[in-house]
Amino acid sequence: MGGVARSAATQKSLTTAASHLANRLALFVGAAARHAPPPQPSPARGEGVKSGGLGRFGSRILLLVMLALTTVFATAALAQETPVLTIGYLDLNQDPRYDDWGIHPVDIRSSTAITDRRAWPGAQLGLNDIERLKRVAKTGFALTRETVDGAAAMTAAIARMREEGIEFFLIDAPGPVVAEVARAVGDGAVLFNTTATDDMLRNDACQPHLFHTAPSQAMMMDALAQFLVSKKWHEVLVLRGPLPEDAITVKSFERAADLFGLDITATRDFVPGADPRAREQNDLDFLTGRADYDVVFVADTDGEFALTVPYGVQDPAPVVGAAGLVPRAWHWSHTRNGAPQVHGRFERMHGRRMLESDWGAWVAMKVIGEAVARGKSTARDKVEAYLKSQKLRVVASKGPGMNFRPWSNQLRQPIYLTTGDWVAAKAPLAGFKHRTNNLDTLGIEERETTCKF
Amino acid sequence: MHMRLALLVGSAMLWTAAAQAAGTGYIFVSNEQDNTVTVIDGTSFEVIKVIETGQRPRDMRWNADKTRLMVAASVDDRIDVIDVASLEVIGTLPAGEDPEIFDVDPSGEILVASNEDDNEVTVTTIATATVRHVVEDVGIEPEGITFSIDGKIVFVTSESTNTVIVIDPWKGEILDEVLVGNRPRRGVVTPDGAEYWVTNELGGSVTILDARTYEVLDEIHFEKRGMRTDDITPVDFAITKDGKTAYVTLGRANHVAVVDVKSRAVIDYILTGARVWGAALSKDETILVVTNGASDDISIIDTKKKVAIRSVPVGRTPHTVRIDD
Repeated sequence: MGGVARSAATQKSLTTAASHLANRLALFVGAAARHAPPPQPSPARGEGVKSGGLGRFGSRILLLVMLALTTVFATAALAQETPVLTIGYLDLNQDPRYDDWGIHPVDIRSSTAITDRRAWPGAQLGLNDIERLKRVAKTGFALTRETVDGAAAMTAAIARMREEGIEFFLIDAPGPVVAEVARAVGDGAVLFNTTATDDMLRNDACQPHLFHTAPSQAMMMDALAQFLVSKKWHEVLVLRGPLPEDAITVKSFERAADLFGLDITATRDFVPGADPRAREQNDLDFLTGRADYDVVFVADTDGEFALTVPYGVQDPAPVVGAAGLVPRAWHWSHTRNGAPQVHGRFERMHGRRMLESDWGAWVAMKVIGEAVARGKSTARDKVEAYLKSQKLRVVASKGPGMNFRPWSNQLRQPIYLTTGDWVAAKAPLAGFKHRTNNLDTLGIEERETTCKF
Repeated sequence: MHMRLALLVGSAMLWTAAAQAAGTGYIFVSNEQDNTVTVIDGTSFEVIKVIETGQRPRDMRWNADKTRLMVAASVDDRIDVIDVASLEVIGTLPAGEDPEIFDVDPSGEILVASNEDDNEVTVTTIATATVRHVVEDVGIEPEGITFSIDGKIVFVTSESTNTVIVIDPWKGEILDEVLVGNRPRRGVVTPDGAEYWVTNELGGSVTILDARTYEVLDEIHFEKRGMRTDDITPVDFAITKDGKTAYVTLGRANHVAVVDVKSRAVIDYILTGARVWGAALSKDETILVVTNGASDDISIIDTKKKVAIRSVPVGRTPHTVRIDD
C-alpha cells in the first residue's frame, strides 16, 4: 500500500512539473500567450502500479515531458516560418456533468480512481494529431484554455480571445450554457460543442456558427431503438428519474420508439432512496412488477440509481439506457476502424481511458485540421465554408468519414452500443437504410428539424 | 543460408533466378486474430498446413529468391521468417514496435516497416537482422509501405494525417509529403516506375501520384449501383506485370474493382466475401486471390471470367495473401 501511495505522489508532482514546464514553454511561443490552467494531473490508477510502479510511471512522465518539449519546440521552430492557428478552449469550473453525475459511489471516496472526465485531454491529443499536418497545411496549431464560471464569463472570455485573433473555439459545457454562449457570441467565431448532447441545441437553439461533434440525444436514442427492433424486443418499460434532464431523455426515447415502432408499455417514475412509504418509486420489485416488457429503459442522468437496475428487474429482461446497454459516442473497448490506435495514443498521453467527452474534443480538433489542410486556408470564412460543404470527410476512427448535417451542423457519426467492456453493436445497424446516407437514420432529420439558420 | 548467398550474387541475376524458379504453388494467408499462417494448395485449394506465428500476423513479403516468406508479427514487435521448403518459422527480424505493413527493396537487402503506434518507419538490414534506420515523424498511424521500382525511395501512407510521405530508406530521411485522400492505406508502383497509386479508404478512391515528382496526377472514384458510397473502402492492390490492369480491393463494398491502368477507367467489379482487403495474383495471372477479413475466408477469382470461382475458409480475420509460384 505504501508503495502505491508513494508512486502516486511521485507521479503527481512530476506530472505537475511537466505541465508547468509545458505551460512555461508555451509562453515562449508567443502565439496566444495566455496562462492556461495546467492540465489536471491524473491520480495513479491502482492497477497501473502492480509491478515496478515507479519505472512505469517514470516512463509515462518522460513521455509527457518529451511530448511537451517536442510539441513546443516544433511549434516554436515553425513559428518563424509559418503561421500558427490558435484554437480557444473553454470549460466551466463547476460542471454538474463532471462534479455530480455518473461517478460511481466507490470512486467518489477512492484515492486511486480517475474521475476526471473532462474533454480537455481529448483536445490535447487532437492538437498532437493535427500538428503533423504542418508540412502540408503550412501552418502550426496551438490550443489555449480558459476555465470560467458560467455562460457570461465564457462569453467574455471568448470576446477577449477574439481580440487576440482567435476565431475557433472548443466548448465543453452543459447544453444550456452552450446555447447561451453561442447566442451571445454571434457569428464571426466558429464554436464547437464537444460534449453537450441536448437535442434543443440542434433544433430551436441552433446557431449557424455552432458545430456539434458530440452526438445528439436523439441520435443515441435512435441507435438504441434500432438495436431493440433488430432484437425484436418491442415492449419497453421506461423508468424515469426525478431530474428535468431525465424527462427530456424520456421524451427523446419516446420519439425514437415511435419512429422505429417500439411499444412503451409503461413509464414509471423512480426516486432514489430507501423510504418504505415510497417503495412504489424506490423499490425495483415494485417499479418493474405488474407490467409486460421485453426490455427496461432507464433514464437516469445522475446515474446512481441506474447502477442497481440490471438484475434488479422482476422479469428476465435486459436493461438499456443509463445502465446495461448504453449508447455512447466512443468507448475504449472497440477493436475496429483504427480505434485501438487512437485509444492507445490517448492512454499513453494521459494514463486513463479515452471517454466520450475526449472523443468529442479530439474530433473537433481533427475537423479543424482537415478543413485547414484541404481548404488550404486558415481564414475563418474559408474554414467555415469548408465545414459546411459536404466535401468534408473527417477520419475519426469510427468507420465512415464524417461531415456535418447542413440543417443542424450536427456531425454525422455512428453510435456505439456499449456494455461495460464491449461494443455490442454499432449503429446504424445492418438493415436500417436511409435514402442518401445511412448515418442519417440516427437523429433529427432535415424534415423534422426546427432549426432555422 | 540462402539469404546470405543471395546477397553475394548480383541482384540482376537473382531476379532471373527467381523468375525461373518453379514455386510450390502454395497460397499463404496470414490470420490476424489466430496468430497463424494458413498454407493452401494452389490447385486443389486444400489446406496443407497451418503455421503458428507470432501474435497478430499481418503483412507478408518474399525474400529475393522466394525461399523465405517474412511475416509481420505485430504484437510481438518482430518479423517472423518462414522457410518455404519446410513451412516452419526459422528465425525473426527486428522491425521496430508493432510492425504492420512492410516492403522489401528489389535487391532484397533491406526491409522497411511501418510502426503505427510510434509514428515511425523502421529500416532493417535483412542479412544481418539489424535495424539500420528509424525514420520518425512520418505522420499519425503510418501504414502502407511501397518501394519505387528502382528501390531508391519508399512511399509511406499516413492513415490519420491523410498524406503520403516519401522517404529515402538508405539514408533514413524524409524527402517530401503530399496530401492525398482520406485514410490512405496501401500503395503500388506501376511496373514502368512512372506512377504511384494509393488507396484512400474513407475517400472511396485511388489517388495517382507521379512517382518521380510526387505531383498528384489523378484520382479514380469507384461507384456501382447497389454499392453505398460509404461502403466503398479501398485498401489493397494487385497489378499485372505488363502494368495494364490493376485490381483494387474495396473493403466493405465486398467487391474488387478491375481498373485499366492506362485509361484509369474502372472496367468491372467482382463480388467477393465480406470486407475484402488483401490481394495477390498468381504468376500466370489467371487467378486473383483476395482475403475477406469479415468472413474469415479467401475468394479465388478467375481473372478471365472476372468472377469468384471458389471460397476457402482460413483462420480468423485473414489479412494478407501471397502466392508461391
